[in-house]
Amino acid sequence: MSDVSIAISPLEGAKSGNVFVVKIAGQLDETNVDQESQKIYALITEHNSNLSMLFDLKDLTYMNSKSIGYLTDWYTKVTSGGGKLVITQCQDNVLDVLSVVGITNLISHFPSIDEAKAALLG
Amino acid sequence: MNASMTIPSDYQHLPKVRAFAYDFVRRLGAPEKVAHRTEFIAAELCSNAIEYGGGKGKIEIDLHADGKSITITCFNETSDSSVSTRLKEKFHADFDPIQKRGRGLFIIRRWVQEANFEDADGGIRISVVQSLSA
Repeated sequence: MSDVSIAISPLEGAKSGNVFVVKIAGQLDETNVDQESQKIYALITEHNSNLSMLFDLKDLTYMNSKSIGYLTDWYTKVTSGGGKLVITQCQDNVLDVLSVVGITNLISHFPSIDEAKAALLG
Repeated sequence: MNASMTIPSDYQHLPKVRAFAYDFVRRLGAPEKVAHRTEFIAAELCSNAIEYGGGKGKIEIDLHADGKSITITCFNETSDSSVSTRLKEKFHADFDPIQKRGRGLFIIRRWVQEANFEDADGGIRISVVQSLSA
C-alpha cells in the first residue's frame, strides 16, 4: 500500500467552527484512496452544512484518477451545503493532472496557503 | 530502448508500475513532466486491466522509446471480448469534469498522440504513443 497521510484541523482565524484544513501528504492511489477518503466523508457527514475546506496538497506527490473523482465529489457535497472548497500548494505533476481534466476550472487553486485562506474566509 | 515488467492482477502492485515507468523515462533524459505523465498513463492502463480483467491472471506492461516518443503497451488476459470495444468507446467518449468515472481514459486521451485497442493472444492489448517532449 502506498504511503499517505490525511491530517484534518480547524483553520486558525476562522470565525466559524466549520472551516477545516485538510493536509494530504504522500501518494493517493488505488491502494489506499477508498480507505483514506472515508476520513473526508466523515467530516462532511459531521458538518453537513456550511462546511468549508482548504486542501493543502504541498506534500501530495501523486493522485490517480479515482482520487480526482473523490475530490470532485467532496467539492459537490461541500458547495451544495453552502460551503467552499479550495486547494493550495499543488505540486506541478498534481496540478498538471487536475488541469487537464478541468478540475482547476471547477475548484479554485491558490499557489500560497495565505491566498487560499483569504479566499476561503473572504 | 525497451523495458517490460509483469505484475499479478492486483492493485497493490501499481506503485511498482509507476516507479518503473517514471524511472524509464527519466533515464531517457526526458523532462520530469513527461515522466510523471508516463507514470500516470501506465498506472491507469494497468488499473483498467485489473478492473476489467476481474483481478485474474497477469498484466504485462511494455515501454518502447524511439527518441521522439514512447509507446506504452498494456496486455492482460481475459475471455471477455467486449472489453476492448467498451474501453475504446470510453476512451473517445465526451467527459464532464464532475462525473465520477471515466476520468483516467480521458486524461490519457489528452496526453497521447495515438491509441490502439485490440483483442489478441487471448486478451486485450492497449498501446498508446506519448511524445517525449514536454
